[in-house]
Amino acid sequence: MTMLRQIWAAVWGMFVDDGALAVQVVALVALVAAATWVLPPLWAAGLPVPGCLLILVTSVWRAKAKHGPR
Amino acid sequence: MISPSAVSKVSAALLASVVEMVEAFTIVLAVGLTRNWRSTLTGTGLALAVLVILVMAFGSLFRLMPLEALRLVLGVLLLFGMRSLRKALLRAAGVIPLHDEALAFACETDLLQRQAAEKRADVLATIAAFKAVLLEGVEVVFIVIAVGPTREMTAYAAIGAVVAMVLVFILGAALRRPLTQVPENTLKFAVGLMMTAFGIFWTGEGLGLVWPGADFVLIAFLVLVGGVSRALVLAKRRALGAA
Repeated sequence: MTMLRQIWAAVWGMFVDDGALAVQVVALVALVAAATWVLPPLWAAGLPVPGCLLILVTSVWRAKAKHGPR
Repeated sequence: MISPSAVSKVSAALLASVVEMVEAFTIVLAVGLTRNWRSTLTGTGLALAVLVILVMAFGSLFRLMPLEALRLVLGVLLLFGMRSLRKALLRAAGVIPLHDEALAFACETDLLQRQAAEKRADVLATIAAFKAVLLEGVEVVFIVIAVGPTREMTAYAAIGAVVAMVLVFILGAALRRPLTQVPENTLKFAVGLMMTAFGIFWTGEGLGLVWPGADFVLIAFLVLVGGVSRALVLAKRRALGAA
């Protein structure tokens, strides 16, 4: 059971290391999906890259320094 | 002739596999040198068999899905993989420490030496090798499937992963010490960058977006995300220095 828990933790950690980042990714995908209803596909294609960069920048910027081996 | 798209998939799987296999090799080596190679190879072989089954099972499962839905699912999963890029950036900026293979090797060796007197020491050694290869391998399996959603592309990505694994284990077996000289964080950065770029691309394809330049837009994504990442590391380092 311990090993199964560790495998699950590894798989879960692959996707959801930072909970806020995961939620923001889902919100961005929902926003782009909604935009495809009102915007032409070429215009909506302008949303994912700035969205991802914004998520990445805010996530890295608010990270606090940690010490010790990981 | 192999297409540029196939080359990018082989590269992504190869780099990801090198990073994960270097970490797995450190534990496998510690088990082999501290306990015995029979237990080590048994654990490693069992883990590789489980990984092959996982690739076949999930590969087949994903291929049952409609292509648009598959692209969206894999794209979103790859975007979640942006946390790899985030972690590499935080390590490069000095926010969190770099992964230390020598320390991981010392910790595993110490643990195995403390377990040496136990009756089931060989079983524990087999489990340690099995766990290390399986846990690191699961990440490679995901990347192999995600970057190559079609059967042909999964095969290309799998070739990249297997080549990397063989190289790491041959090099490590020759040196008989942890591969501390491998620039792990640089490789993790490259893998995170590719996951993010592929994630944006597949998510967009799944949602029916039209990318200007079709497949070549991936190069623009890599340059853009890479440039912003580099600037972010420099800014974060300055901010930490000023604090």
